Amino acid sequence: MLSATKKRFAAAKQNASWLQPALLAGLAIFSLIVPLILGTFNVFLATEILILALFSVSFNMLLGYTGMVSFGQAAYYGLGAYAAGLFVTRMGLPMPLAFALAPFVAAVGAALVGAIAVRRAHAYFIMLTLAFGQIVYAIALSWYSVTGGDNGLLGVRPIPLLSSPTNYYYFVLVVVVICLYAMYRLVNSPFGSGLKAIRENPLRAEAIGINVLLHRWVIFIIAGFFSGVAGALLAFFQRSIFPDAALFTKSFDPLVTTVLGGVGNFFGPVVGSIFLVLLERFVVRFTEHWLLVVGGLVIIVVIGFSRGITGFDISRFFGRRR
Amino acid sequence: MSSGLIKAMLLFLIASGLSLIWGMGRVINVAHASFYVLGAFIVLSMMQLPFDAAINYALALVLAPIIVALVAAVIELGLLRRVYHRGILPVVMVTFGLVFVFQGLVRIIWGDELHVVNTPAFMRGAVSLGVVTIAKNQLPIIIVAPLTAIGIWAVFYRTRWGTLVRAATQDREMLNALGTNVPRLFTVTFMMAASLAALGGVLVAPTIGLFPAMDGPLIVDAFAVVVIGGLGSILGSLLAAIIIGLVFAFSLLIAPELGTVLTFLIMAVVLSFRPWGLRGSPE
Repeated sequence: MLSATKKRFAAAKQNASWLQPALLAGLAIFSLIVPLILGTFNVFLATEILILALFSVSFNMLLGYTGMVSFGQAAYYGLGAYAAGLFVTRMGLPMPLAFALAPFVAAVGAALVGAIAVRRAHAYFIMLTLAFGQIVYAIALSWYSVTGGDNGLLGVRPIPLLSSPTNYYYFVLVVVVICLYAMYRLVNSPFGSGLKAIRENPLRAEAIGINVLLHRWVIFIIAGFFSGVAGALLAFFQRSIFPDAALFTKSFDPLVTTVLGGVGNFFGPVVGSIFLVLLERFVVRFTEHWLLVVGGLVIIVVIGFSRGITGFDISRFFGRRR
Repeated sequence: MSSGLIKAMLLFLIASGLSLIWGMGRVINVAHASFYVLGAFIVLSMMQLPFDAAINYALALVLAPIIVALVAAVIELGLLRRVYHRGILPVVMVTFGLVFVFQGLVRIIWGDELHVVNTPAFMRGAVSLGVVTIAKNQLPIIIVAPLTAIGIWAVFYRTRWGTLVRAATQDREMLNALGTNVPRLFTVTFMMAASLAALGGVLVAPTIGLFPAMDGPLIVDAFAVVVIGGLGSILGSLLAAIIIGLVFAFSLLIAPELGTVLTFLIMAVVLSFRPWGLRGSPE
């Protein structure tokens, strides 16, 4: 009886070990042929999913791998978007240069906020990232002469080669795949092992010689950098930027995709992004109250299905209440 | 100057509740400002009652905090209690979900447009107090908010219940072991915090335009206040709210765009020197 259960567990484990690469391969092939088999509208949809997936995976390096709950990740997303947009429209830089520089602006922002925020754990970290995250939004909204305020920043055009939806989709695909690969290598490096050690037990990590604060700060900057890449992708995708990109409710998106997809899995947030974007398209056909639906969904998933879609318990890292 | 004080009072009503439920239950309630929105919109509806406008407003002043406290009780007992044992992230996620649920419900019930509350006659015009002139629609918050602050102090330092709450912020488990029903005490505290936020909504409703997403800027400012003041300290919240309010008024005179940015600069400075806030204690 017992051995039968064990066998089933072993079988399930083996299933899982080939299932994920198979799914990924399928997803990769599918993402390559999307523009060939689906219409323009769906290409837009797929681009949107890719950008959200990059944003979410960068966020999950903090949440899933280091145990840091950042509530202001939209700030770096918005910073990347505005930097890219301002470089192109106000400074007249060519798009490739603007696109390459924008993530570094986001990283500098993250370095400044991180210098204060990463020193504090849990509750203070949540509130600090949330509050500091609003600075970008406040500046974007009120600095009319530069950002255009709530009229947005318009005319953020990519180079002619990338102006067709299909070409831009492939550009996004290449950038996102490169970024995901870089982050995958990062979390599976010795540095990544240090992060996981910090997540499991910061005190012990410190005791075995890991510089906890430095690790936290560096990963916060790196996550900010990749959120900035996602933001820059968004800017040229929408060809305009609005302050909403940096609003704190936008920080909810990666949180939702990560919790839906599973915190502990590198590709969990990607699955969550696909699910969230498709669900939104489906729900808005029936009701305009999308936020109500997603809010309710999150509450139900958190209370009822603590393991997310891909089956990983979000509470595992966050200790019991004292 | 008066606008800065009003902002300070409103921030105090929101932040003191946030700080309190953190101190006692280790709960970060992102949806706390939703209670404020609810309070303000209840005023909007109650002004439609067939009584004199002044009576309507007085009714709202009493009933809105009670209604919101009941809503808060349902949330605490029905949702939050199920996730406390799983740590801080699930709790924050649930309250973040609630932000959107509340916003959606307010949209459905009251509509998406900007609303203006029908103010009673005694709230129209302005009154001159020697050096300053105050718009009469600001009278409710100028009069009631300080009284509430005194009331909070009296409850916490002069009643047995307040002593128990303060004891719970110090050591929950010990208080539980000594025979106090701490979960029930927390439910009541949560309800009280929610009704304070609702009261804030009722008091500022005559002075501003109401819209469903008006909780966003306020909750962020309230978090800044709580962090500057120190988590769990009501006096800290009061100090920080006054500082932020004055800075806000000051920035209105010089560079209105900079108000929000200045708030966070102050936060950065305070936290660089006192990471646990003005009145908080090191962890």
